[in-house]
Amino acid sequence: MINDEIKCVLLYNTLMGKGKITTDDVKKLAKLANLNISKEELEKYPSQLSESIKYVENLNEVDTSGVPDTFFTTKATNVMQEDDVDPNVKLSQSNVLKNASRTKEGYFVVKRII
Amino acid sequence: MNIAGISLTDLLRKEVAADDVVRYFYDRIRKHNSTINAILRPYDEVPEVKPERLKGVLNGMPIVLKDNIITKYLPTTASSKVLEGFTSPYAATIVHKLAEAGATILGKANMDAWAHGSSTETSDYGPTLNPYDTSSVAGGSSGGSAAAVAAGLAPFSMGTETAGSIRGPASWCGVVGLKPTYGRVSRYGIIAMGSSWDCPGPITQTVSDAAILLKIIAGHDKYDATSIQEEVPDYPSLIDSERKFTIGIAKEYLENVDAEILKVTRKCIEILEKSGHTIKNISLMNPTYSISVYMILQRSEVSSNLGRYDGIRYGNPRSYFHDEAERRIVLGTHVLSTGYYDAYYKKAQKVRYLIRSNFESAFKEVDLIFAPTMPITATKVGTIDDFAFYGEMMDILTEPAAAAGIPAISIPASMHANGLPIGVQFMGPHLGEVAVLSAAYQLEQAIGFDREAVMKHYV
Repeated sequence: MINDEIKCVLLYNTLMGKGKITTDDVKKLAKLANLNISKEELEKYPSQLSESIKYVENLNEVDTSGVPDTFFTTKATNVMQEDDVDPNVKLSQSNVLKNASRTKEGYFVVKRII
Repeated sequence: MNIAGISLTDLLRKEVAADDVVRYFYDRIRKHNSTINAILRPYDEVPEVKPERLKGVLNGMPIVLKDNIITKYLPTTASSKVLEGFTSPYAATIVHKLAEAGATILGKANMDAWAHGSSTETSDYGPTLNPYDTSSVAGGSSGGSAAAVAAGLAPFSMGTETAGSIRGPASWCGVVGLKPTYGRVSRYGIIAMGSSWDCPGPITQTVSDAAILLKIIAGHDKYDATSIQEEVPDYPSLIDSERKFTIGIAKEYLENVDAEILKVTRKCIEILEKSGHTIKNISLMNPTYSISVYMILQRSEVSSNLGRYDGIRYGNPRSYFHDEAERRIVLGTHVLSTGYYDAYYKKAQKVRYLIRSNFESAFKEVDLIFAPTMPITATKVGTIDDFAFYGEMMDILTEPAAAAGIPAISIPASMHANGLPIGVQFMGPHLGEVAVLSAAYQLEQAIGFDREAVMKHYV
């Protein structure tokens, strides 16, 4: 089945990648996370992060079969509210814009995307 | 007037004008803050005590707030240059509650940037030093809040804890730090670090002070969907100085702990037993699993939460993030990404479930669990460079309770031969703050820790 194949590939990737984060990984992750990583940082981070990843492998010692997939700290389930405007949490446009580095005619200015 | 070490409880009973008290601590900050760097951007002038504050139970008294608590009239930076100069258009729920209760905000306290750390060394505004030894750190991430209270620069403060960030610095600075049950106190307006972990809580001179503040800040908040609906008990009046508890001691929490800290812990256990509490040896999951759970889940949540700092609507660009924040974002992004999510994030969530149920089972046999707060005393400035994940390692004994979302308090127990304070902690069941506060109060009274001795260095 397609699903099983995908699972195999993912498992393979996981096992192969286990315990190590490479410079390439850091570059890709930095791009995903929209971070500028300097050359010096790029030299240090892979080994530092690999140490963290190595440490957490101890979780494999814990048998989690039968544990539900989802967890929330207080066991709360859906919290609903009326779809009304709450005047207490409204902010004026000027208030919202006051901390922006660049605004124009009441808009936030962003880098051109298109 | 010499009230540097006065407790909030005593301060509220004293015949003294709020203006005088605020000026007194304002002067102390001016005089001594440069030694320990507890307060960020101290006031140039004495802040005014607003007359309406005098109607509240806190009677205008001054508080310092960790700088990840959003205030409307003072900047909030989370000790990061990303938010340098940022003034929020709204205030945190707990700030409103404290203001309604009559507090005067005397300043924002230094912290590890984004609360990433256990020493306040990752602050972009310099570390906060330990009032007992300025070559050592105050602990973190609420280092400024703890150091301010310890040195008598503020009579009470507010911190936050994700895993150890209240109890850790409280322990290392010889003051009281309470992490409430997760959800007991609203996180609305708290700069999010680990949204399923973060707990605002008081750092104070005494246990009854913590109870006073907990009553003020606790309660359901419709602006925080994770906040608990339960009624807020009248904590101060419910502290029971007589009730005897069954207190569990887990051997797993005594491993790899400094010998003197262990001795002090055992001494406290003796005191508890002699005063009529039942001590029971129990076994809990190894805390090293909590380190891994916390490392993975916290960093995942951090990578998501720090995504909002895009420098567009507010703040400086993401290039202003420093090492620690970047590392955490990268690791968090990694463990959430395709191919790794199951092995890391999902696995950690499941182990977190087991940690919580492990405590739930334990609390069927005991009322409270007692342990040292930290495995060692405050480290020297610069020690974090020796560790790939200093924070997670230091917080080994505080991470489990944070994972489970249960309440816990650290109180000072004794001085180490190295001149630094040793803290001990009680952990309680979900919403078990009354028992936690009561046992802590009883032990605090029996120990009689001299919190004012250190203040002779800050005269």
